[in-house]
Amino acid sequence: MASLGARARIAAAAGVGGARVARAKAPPGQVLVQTLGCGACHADLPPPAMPARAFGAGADIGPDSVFDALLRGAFASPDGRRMPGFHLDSAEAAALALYLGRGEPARRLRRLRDDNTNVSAETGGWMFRALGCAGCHAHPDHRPEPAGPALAAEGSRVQPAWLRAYLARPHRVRPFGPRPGSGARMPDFALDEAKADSLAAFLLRRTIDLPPFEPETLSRFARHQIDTLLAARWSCLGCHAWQGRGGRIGPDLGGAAARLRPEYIRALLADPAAIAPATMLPDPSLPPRTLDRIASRLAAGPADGPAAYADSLRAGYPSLLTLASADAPPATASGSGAGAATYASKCAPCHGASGLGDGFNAGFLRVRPANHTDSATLAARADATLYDITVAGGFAFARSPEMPAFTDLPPETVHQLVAHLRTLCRCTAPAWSRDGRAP
Amino acid sequence: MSRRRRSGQGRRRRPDAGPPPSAGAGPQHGGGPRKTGADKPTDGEAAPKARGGPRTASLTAWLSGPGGRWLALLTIAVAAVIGVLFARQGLRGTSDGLALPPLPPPNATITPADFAGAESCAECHSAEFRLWQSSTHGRAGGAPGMAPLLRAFDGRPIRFRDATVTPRVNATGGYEFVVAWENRPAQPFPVDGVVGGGHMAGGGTQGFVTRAEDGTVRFLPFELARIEDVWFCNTSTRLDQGWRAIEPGMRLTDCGDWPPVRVLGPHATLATCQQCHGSQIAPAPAPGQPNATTYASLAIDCESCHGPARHHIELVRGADADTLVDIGLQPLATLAEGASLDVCFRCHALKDELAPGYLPGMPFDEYYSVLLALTGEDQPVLPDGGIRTFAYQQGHLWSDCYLAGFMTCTECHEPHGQTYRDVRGRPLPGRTADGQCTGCHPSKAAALEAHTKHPAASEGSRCVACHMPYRQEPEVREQLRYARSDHVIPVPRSETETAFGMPVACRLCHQDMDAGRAQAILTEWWGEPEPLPALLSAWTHASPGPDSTLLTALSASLDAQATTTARSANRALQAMTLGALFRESLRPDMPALDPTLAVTLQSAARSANPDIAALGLAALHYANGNGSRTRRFLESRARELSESQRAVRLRWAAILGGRADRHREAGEWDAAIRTYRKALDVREDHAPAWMNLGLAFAGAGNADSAEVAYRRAIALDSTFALAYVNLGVLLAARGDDISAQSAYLDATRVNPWEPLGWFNLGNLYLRGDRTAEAAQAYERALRASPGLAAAHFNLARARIALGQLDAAESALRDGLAFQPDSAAAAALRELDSRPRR
Repeated sequence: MASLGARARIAAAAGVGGARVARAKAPPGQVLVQTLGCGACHADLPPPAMPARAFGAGADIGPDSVFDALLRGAFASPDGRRMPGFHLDSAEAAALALYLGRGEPARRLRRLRDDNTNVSAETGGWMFRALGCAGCHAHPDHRPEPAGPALAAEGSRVQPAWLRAYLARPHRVRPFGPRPGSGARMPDFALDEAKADSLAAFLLRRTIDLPPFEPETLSRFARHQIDTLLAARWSCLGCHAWQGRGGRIGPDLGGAAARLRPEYIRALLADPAAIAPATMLPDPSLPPRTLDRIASRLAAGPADGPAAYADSLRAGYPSLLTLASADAPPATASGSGAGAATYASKCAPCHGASGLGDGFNAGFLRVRPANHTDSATLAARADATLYDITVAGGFAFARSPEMPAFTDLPPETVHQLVAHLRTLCRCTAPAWSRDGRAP
Repeated sequence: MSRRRRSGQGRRRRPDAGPPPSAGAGPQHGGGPRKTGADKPTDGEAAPKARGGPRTASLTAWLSGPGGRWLALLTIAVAAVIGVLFARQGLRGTSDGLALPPLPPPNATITPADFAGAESCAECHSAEFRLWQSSTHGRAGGAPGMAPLLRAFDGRPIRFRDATVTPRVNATGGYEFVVAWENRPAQPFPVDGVVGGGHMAGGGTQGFVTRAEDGTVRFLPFELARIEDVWFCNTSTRLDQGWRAIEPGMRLTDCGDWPPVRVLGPHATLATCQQCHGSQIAPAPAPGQPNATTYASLAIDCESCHGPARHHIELVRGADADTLVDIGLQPLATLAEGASLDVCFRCHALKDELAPGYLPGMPFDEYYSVLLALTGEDQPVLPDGGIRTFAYQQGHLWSDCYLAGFMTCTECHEPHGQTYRDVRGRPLPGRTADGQCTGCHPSKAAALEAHTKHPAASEGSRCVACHMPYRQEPEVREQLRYARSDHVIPVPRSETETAFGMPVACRLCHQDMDAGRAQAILTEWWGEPEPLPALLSAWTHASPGPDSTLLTALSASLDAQATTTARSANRALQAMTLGALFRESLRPDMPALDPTLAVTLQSAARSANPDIAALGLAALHYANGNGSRTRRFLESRARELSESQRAVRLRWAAILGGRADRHREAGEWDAAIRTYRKALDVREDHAPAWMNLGLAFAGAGNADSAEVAYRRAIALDSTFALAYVNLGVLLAARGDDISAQSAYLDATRVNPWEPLGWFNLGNLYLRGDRTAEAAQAYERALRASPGLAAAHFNLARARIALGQLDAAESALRDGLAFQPDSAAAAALRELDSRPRR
């Protein structure tokens, strides 16, 4: 919690797009992209000019050195390589240091390890992956997977002012990263405003065609109505926080107005997979008129303004260590097979990696997620019911409206998921539910 | 505004404002007060009989049996003698009165003036308005010439054996039916409104209303059936043959609605269509027309569902409109599931009226009960939710989609255009679109034929083919198609077909398939179905009365938590089971109540559902209200009711009142009196219950107590014509003709269109040899109710006495038209055999 307090202070001090003072001449954005190595995380940008230090076998750096470097913030090494800052607190840095460093740590690190059950080489290993360290740092246990979002449509996606502010002070604008539940963080290169502007200008030139969309001006009543439905019917708050309530898997919806262009919001809602192929957002499958209203609502920003939104960012976001210790790190599969993998990515954040209903996001929901190891309950449910709740969502079955409708999962995937649920509950479908015999 | 408030407090001219309630609303299946909603020609003059309540008593006292007036006079004589013996029984002073919190006044601050009309919505909500205009609600009715007719009024006659009815447009452009009935003068009935457009896929109809002399709006018996393209009428009350196409073999009086007796809006004694066949149908008493009715439109307009809009319009036109969260109206989309259902169930469900004066926007719970309408002795629906007689879409309450998914009507029905959509709101092409189901059940869409065993493109592979088949409304019978899709959304299963008789859907398409074959196919293709919820399962093998299995299952169901065992917590079936228990197992003030039963009833009494709670409270009160522990329980439970105090108390009193009616009708006077008094403990200011108590006292021969009760009813509602009538009957029986005459005159003063006031006045005059005045009184009675056979017969007697033999003969003939088997036929023969002057 101490780490959260620290972040809160940072966030509170932040203002999106702060006053500009010095303006030095900056290198062109394209050059900056290569110098900073943005392509290590963002697959659609050119690859980094220079590899970073490798870890693992053969690397001989002590844990205390790693610890110090992680807490130092952005710095340039003597060979010209730049290490960004991640604004980790000391416990987080300690976990990573224990994972990466060789040898027995000094007293300070030992104390952190001994005082905090979450601080271990194991959680450090998970942090290494969640933060996307492998994008730059070779490690025998990790593949270099780009952890950052696609930026090929940045000019059509984000608001320029927001992007400039974000590039300059990423941790002030989004202390918990683009997708809080994933643990990924935008590294802080401590860019000055000129560099941030230059980088932003480069990214903003990358556009795609989106259908035009003019947000409606919504009365307070209309905003209130949509807010109600966002929470009570459309399952948005299962993953997203909105005005202080809701899940922490996806970005806080309160930031959408300042961050995203309205036409992007609208297009994303209409077909998430087409607009943002890597997104976790299921197709909302709502009629166009409804999507218009939701997009207009999000584009209008939170009811109580940006200040309240900044406040809401303080509230209860999972720290990296929480994510790592919740027994539900995304993409950590329990069991094997295709169903297990889907479960780990789609279900585990709420239901827990082992299905106990204790994923890191569970505490942010109004209804406790189902315990999939409860064989008595699941044995009374037909496979078809499990299929239906997965695809149609909790609302349709008077379960929690925060259980999303995974409308675009292919039938085969859902069947695999149902099979995986049966392994979690160690139960079978009731005898009466057999169906599908040929006439 | 003030007028509406008063009426909400029972001061309207409605003798039985109370519900002919749950525990029994008389023998009617023909559409008495409890039948709501659409397209249903209902009873004729017999309808009042169905009402239970006061009219029943008056009518049965005077009309039942072959003897008509003569029998009635005999009854009164007997009553007068016995009355002395019981006169000292008294009214109050018993020890078993309950100390209950005061009954909160009705929450009825809405008046017709609060409504703004559909056109005023169009300015801002043009898309919804246009959808509505083309919807079945928007085209549900209107003025003739505006609303499209299924058949032109082109002068082509409708022929009966004894009448010719000509629908035509007259010289001034008015639509009318001209009725030429035997050799009576042709009588035009102007068509003031067209109701229905024949829209419904399962059989649509179109009816016609006329404004009667008393200011009521009445259905004419000539209606059109779209599919068969015929004129038809409802013969249920006359021939017991359901709806029949009119053909030259029929008599005009075979139609139950001849003369017109079915009214729009509330009415004390006539069959009503309640407030469903138009918008903002409301009483508009005028001098001399206490039952006059107004309506804003015969379509079902915006405010019928959304409630009054005037306040909303004021708010949104204000300068700060955009800053308001409360805009004076609420959209369906954000209503809780119960409130959303109530909007549609205002018309799409059977319901019992608890108090008069409902308008959209008022708390539905304090005016109507849907569940109590299902619990009565007429048993309109089966335990599995299937319709036994005639009902609407309340089967929804049995559906797994509702019980396990909180489904509301608007998950499938787009409410403005009455088109179809899926649970996510995406439009669907029509009523058979699978998306209605597969929005929630995508597993079925993913492997359609594996589930349906019918070729995917075929009609038999549609979800609704097996799960929402169209079923003919049983009471309509088979001649005319009038089917509605089964909103129970059942899984076809032989178990319920065997137990309750509702054929499985297979047999509705495959009509040559017998039940055994269907059962074999169901088992072979789909295996064993999901076990029935325990309470319904108990019903499949319950004997006629509730047995211990049923009681155990009811107890478990009452304890079931809606979230964990949703299918078990079927409130409608709980209510039906409690109703059956009431009927079959309980008697007033039983010496001892079976402990298991007592615990179960207490569990019901604690329910958060006002109907279940009221059934539990009423049952305990009825069966054991004399026990001090039960009394303490009832009193403490009543104190716990906060916001639901009025809703529960009105139900509680209605259930007891209905039970008391049954005792009274069975001549069980002591039980009736005890039970009415319990009902009055719960709702002291209910004038109709006081009058009914008076009837029970009169039946028991306790004239003094009866008089006190009648006078109490009158004190509570000075416009209560029937209470004056019954007071007059009592006084006349006592031989006090002067006071009786005064009471009858009071009745005709407060309602000049109350036939029984005039009729009894006529009887008094006839007995006092004031023959000419008697004839005049009978004539007034017959103007108010032309089908009142006894008045025709007595008018004939008066005219015979006056020497007006031809006029007497025509009166007898008119009476015989409505009561052909009357003993008065003998009198007619006698008259015919006399030599004419």
